[in-house]
Amino acid sequence: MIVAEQKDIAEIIPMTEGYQNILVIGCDTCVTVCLAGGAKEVAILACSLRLAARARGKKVQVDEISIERQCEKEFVDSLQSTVRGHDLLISMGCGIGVQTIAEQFPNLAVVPALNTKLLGLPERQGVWVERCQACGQCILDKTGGICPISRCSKSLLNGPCGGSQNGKCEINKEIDCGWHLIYERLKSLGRLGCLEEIMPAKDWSRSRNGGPRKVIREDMCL
Amino acid sequence: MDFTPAIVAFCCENSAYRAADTAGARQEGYPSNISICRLPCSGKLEVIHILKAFEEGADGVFVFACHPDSCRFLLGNVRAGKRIEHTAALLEKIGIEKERLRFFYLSELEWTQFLDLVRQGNESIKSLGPSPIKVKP
Amino acid sequence: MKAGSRLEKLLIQGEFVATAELGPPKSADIQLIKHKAGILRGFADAVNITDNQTAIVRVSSIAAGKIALDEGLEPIIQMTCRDRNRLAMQSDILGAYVLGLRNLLCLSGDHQSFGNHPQAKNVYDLDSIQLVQMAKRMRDEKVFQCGEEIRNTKKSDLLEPRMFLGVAANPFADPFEFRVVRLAKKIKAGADFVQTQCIFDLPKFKRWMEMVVDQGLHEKVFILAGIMPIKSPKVLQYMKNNVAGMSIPDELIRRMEGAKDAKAEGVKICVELIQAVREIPGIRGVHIMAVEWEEIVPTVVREAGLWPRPEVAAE
Repeated sequence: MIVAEQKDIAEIIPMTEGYQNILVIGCDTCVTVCLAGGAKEVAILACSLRLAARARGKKVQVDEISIERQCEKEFVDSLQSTVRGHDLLISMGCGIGVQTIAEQFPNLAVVPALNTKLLGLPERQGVWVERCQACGQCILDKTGGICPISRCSKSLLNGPCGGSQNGKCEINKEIDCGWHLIYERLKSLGRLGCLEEIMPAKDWSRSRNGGPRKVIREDMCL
Repeated sequence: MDFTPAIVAFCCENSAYRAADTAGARQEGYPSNISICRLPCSGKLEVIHILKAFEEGADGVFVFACHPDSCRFLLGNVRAGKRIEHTAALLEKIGIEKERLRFFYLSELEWTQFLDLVRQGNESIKSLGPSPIKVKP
Repeated sequence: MKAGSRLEKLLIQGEFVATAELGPPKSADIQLIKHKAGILRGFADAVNITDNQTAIVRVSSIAAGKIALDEGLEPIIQMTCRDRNRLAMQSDILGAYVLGLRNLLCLSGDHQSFGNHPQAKNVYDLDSIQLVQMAKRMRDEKVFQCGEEIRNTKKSDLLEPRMFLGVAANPFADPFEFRVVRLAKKIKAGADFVQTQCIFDLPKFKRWMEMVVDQGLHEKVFILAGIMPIKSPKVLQYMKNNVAGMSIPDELIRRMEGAKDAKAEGVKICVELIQAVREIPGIRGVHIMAVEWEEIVPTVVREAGLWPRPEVAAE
């Protein structure tokens, strides 16, 4: 899933400067699961903004709503009547949600309340870890199902580098060396031989470096 | 200036709520400006409940949890402690002094301590004055 | 002969080579480069010019390398994958070559979080193994990484950069059993010589070398053992605690602590290590990494009996 975390309230408050009728919009999908932007967090943020405005002697209306998915136009469209009368929309969705709302409501200001962090999973209660960087050319078949692009600090394809010690990365003893994990996994699969092959230079044009990407399924296009 | 603060005390029903009950039964009155809110466990308390209390006009919020290692639900008091810490930081950034939010551990038997804590707490909120969100229009 | 560098010639000639390191300055200080070059001249067969080592901005390795070359040194240009993509790397390899630089050491590079710009976006378009592979193909197949031939127009001559290619190897990093596999991979990619991480744990290094020799890798690549002169027990302790992929025996730290003159003891340890690695089958030289202590290199070289340095034999 997409994992995000809420921006510091001190960063959000100035974004609301000059607006009187604010709508805080949550998303019930990924960011709800990662406790960043679901209905619960919407209530907290909206209440915080009301309190902050009053503490500063201002009168501001802050309303709340959460929708199924901010990343689909159909769901965002359901907000048509709700947004009426508001001059600022605060999205508690991921970066995709913020932009979908901006696209659907071209005449309204939209600001983000979250920082979209990573594609990953909850490791334990309150901790989420990265597993994919959407590089556009999956090589998990060659690396025992462990991604070196997201889990090696240098995204090396022929690791581990000389900074791997006791299974940890040179940049931080808290970080597992992705390539050490790959090594151990291939070892247990009896496929260490895979590591003797040189993995060729990656085609990064399939990643972000090819410009904004698009997926087209011709058979699904009408 | 004569000021009577509005205070909400969230009490776990397994400890502080009973202590408050005992205090009441013994006719040892605690300040009447303190509204007690009964919780099934301090861990049930959410950030939004504290914010709402301030939004509704509280000048102070007290949270009573069971002592460490005494939570009937094992970690409810630990969760409450962490949430209070988080909420205090949030309040400070919003513009509400974090001292208006107090967190205490208490057992069912400590009814005299309960009285001491709410009386002292009441005084400290009094000295802080009305909540900043109430002072301004 | 692959590149015809002085380092390559001396190695082929069978000399026990000694390389050293020159760290470019953190300012536009040409005098410091010349000063350091002056210290090392005549005491090292080739000198690594580091590339923003520990991710701290310094004079570029190629620029400093050219100055060192003019000062009479044989530079080994270090190139990391951290700061450049494949375009910049190939352009710099061509640039280094036209400036007369003939040795290239291919490294992954220290992560930027260690340096003075931890907010930087790193590159790692290629990794060190892919970098060696690319540089080798440029030299031997006369093509760029994309496969295009290295010439100005279809009718012009192929003019490829011919670099003697080095890599680093860390026998002390984990997983230990994989370290020899990784060296084999680097050789397969095109490494001509190897400089190892600095050695303090001699028994572990010997175990690694036995594995290297067992696989016959010492016959495919020239292996130079990394040696670091240390100034104080504090430096050792610091490296033990903070530098990943180092193996430093406590006994060595105690020896440094017990010494009246720590610097002299450091030199003594260094000389002993050089003499010890010289006895290990498959070792073809030493790489003396006197980080920010270049002035000690002549002493180490002399005391290790490695002075005067050999000349390239007339053809």
